Amino acid sequence: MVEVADVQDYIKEAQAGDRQKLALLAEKFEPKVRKCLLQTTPQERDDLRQELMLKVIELTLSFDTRNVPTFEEFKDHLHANEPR
Amino acid sequence: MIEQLKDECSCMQAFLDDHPQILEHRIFQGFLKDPHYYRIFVHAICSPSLQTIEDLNEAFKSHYANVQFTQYLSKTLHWTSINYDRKRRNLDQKQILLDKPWEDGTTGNPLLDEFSLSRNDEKVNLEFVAETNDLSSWSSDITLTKALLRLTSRQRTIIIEHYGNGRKNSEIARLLNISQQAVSRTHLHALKRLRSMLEKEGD
Repeated sequence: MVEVADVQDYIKEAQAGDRQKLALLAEKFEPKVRKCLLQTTPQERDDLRQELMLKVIELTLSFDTRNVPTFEEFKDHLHANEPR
Repeated sequence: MIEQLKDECSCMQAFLDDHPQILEHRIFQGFLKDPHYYRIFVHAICSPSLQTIEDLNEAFKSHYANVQFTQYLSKTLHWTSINYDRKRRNLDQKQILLDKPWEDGTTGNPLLDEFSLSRNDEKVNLEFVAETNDLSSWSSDITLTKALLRLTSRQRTIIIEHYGNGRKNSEIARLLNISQQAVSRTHLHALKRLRSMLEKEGD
């Protein structure tokens, strides 16, 4: 997998219109896409690849990075669920 | 991992005692596997300050976003490809229903049945419709039709069964009571003969 330094920043920059960051994020999913192509017959793979790449772009551009918890929120959330 | 962390400082020991299940959480385990993140975590717990805690919060957010995004996308890609293949197979099945009439002569599709009925009402000339068992009706090309009719009867049968009825070599072999290899050989021979007849005609 292509290492992307900070996914959150890359997503934000891609959403702001940075095509290069979007391409890097899409590249990160290349191995997964290739694995998914085995789901269908060889003559359908080009079409499926296009559909999957569209999905990657679509989801990247619509991903909401705001509801990611900070460490403290995560810790408190765990604490709240702790059985007493 | 726990032992290594507890050795870092006494604050870490207290923290882990207060939050026993945090190390069991998979996202957090992944977070500590990164040596850079590990250092940020130890730093924030052992020498807490606004800055070190803020660093830890940011680092964790970035890790969490990465995991969440990767999992979300991977799952969606997985289901998209499964649905894609399912849709394609359904489509293939429907096409078989459309191009092969059912045994009672209907197509199994009400719309198409109505369509063919209304065509009969209008007395459409059906002579031009190809009959599967009549090789001479297969092509509108005179040269090809002539060539087809010049094949031997066995070659014609195999061509009709293979291309007309879509039977496999093994099925044709059983039908004619000959071996599968013989069907394949006769088939190839028929194609070769057709080609040479068409080439001769073309000259």
